[in-house]
Amino acid sequence: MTMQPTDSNGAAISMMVDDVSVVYRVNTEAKLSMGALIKSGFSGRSPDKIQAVKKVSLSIHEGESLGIVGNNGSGKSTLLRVMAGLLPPTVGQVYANSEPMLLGVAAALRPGLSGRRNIEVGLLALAIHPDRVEGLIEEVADFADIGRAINRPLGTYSSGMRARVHFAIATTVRPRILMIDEALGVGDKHFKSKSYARIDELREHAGTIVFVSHSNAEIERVCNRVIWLNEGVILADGPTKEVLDEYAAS
Amino acid sequence: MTKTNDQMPSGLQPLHAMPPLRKYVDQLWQRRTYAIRMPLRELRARNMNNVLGLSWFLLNPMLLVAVYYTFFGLIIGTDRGVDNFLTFLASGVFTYSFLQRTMTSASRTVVTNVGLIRAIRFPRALLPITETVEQSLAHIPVVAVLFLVALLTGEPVRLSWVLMMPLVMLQASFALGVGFILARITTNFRDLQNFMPFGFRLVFYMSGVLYSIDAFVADVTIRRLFFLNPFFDNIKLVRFAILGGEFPAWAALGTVISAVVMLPVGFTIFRRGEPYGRA
Ligand SMILES: Nc1ncnc2c1ncn2[C@@H]1O[C@H](COP(=O)(O)OP(=O)(O)O)[C@@H](O)[C@H]1O
Ligand SMILES: [Mg+2]
Repeated sequence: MTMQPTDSNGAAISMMVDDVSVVYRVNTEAKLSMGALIKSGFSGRSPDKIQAVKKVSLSIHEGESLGIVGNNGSGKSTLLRVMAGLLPPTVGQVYANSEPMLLGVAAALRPGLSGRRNIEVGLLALAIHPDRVEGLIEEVADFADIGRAINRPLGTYSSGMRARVHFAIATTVRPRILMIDEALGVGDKHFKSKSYARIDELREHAGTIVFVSHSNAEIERVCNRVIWLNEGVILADGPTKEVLDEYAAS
Repeated sequence: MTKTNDQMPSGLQPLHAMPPLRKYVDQLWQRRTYAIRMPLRELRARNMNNVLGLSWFLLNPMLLVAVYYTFFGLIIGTDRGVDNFLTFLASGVFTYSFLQRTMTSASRTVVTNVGLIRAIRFPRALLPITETVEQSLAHIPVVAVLFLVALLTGEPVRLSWVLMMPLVMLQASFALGVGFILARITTNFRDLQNFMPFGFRLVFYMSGVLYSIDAFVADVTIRRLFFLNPFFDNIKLVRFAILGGEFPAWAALGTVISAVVMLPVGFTIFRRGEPYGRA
């Protein structure tokens, strides 16, 4: 028996972010002086560090839908990738009660393969049992609803079409924890309402949603809790309306 | 409701922890269909893109053999001491090319699959493995061409030709092991990719692809040193399988040892480099 951590109102904790910091090491162009050039070992670059996320801790519960707002470069995408288990933090740990799924403005998985084949290999990489893959391909293709384009190479898709395929793959496998990084914005009106319905359905089944968006309307539609991230630090954490107002006033 | 196979129990589990070996291998095994189906899809898609399509996998080594045969066989005369130089050359070039191409492309997989790595969690060893499966599948028609070359140059059909199947598997295992190591180094040291062609060139000359060691190296001790090179051993054994002759016991030993040792060693080194996909 494993213990189920719960909070005061009874919902189980689905994810715990424990003191997470992320430091990127980057090479910036060195000044074009002889001294700088020699110092950089004639590589013409100088190493630099960017602290994108600073000591972030938080808990999210099942059925909760957390929004993250903040200016460009405030560390939202970085934090999301760490929470999804895709980017190892420099310090800290993330605990989850099921495999999270990240939906980003992703690059084409395999640009040379058709949409249908990308769905197939995507599902297989997610360790979906091969017996179920055939049926799921159809379900994903139906939901993405991009017609005959499903048989064209993914590299030829518009960003909206690609987003539809990604969203369809990521949600058809019904993840218990779904993270969305500005990925709804590119869909058209019809697809957006379908996407909201999918998100609601996941949440009703005790799923957890973490949602990054620059649209207040989207955040209000989806989230019941919001954190405001600024320069990698949580400035506010609370009910959607309150935090959005606070952020707007800044 | 569908769930992924490796969902965790209800308790909280750390996401950024290296899974124990057993679990890592389980996670790979759950994705074995990916390692088979992905190469089939890729090879087919590539077939649609080029004018000559998949035949490049055949044309490339055949053109190489034609070039080498002209310069080394006909002009310089490295065919000394070899009865059927064309088949001798084709065995060497095809085998060497397979090894080099598999190692090189496996070593790049962590870099070339960033899209997948940034989107989905899975044991990254799946990528070099899948690439090796793809290269091995593409090598099958090359082996068929080798049989054809042998027949056309007057070789009889030999029972030892069936050895090609296990030999290619041993070669794939050796190449994957080396590919794992090169992939790990590449993630920390991109420049390796620029050094690799020179390394492979050196190995190429030390592997007796273009000439017979027996005819060109007089010193027995030096000749024995060649057996320490697994590329040489693999090529020597393929030549035995195709052309017959005395069984090269040392080459067979080198081939088996390099395959059986390099795969687990390479895998371990690669796994220690997890998690990949850092900023
Ligand atoms: N791959 C990367 N390498 C280096 N620095 C990065 C990388 N990704 C993001 N950063 C830096 O980290 C900071 C936070 O970026 P990001 O998480 O993308 O913010 P947001 O999503 O809130 O716009 C920025 O200063 C950005 O320049
Ligand atoms: Mg972002």
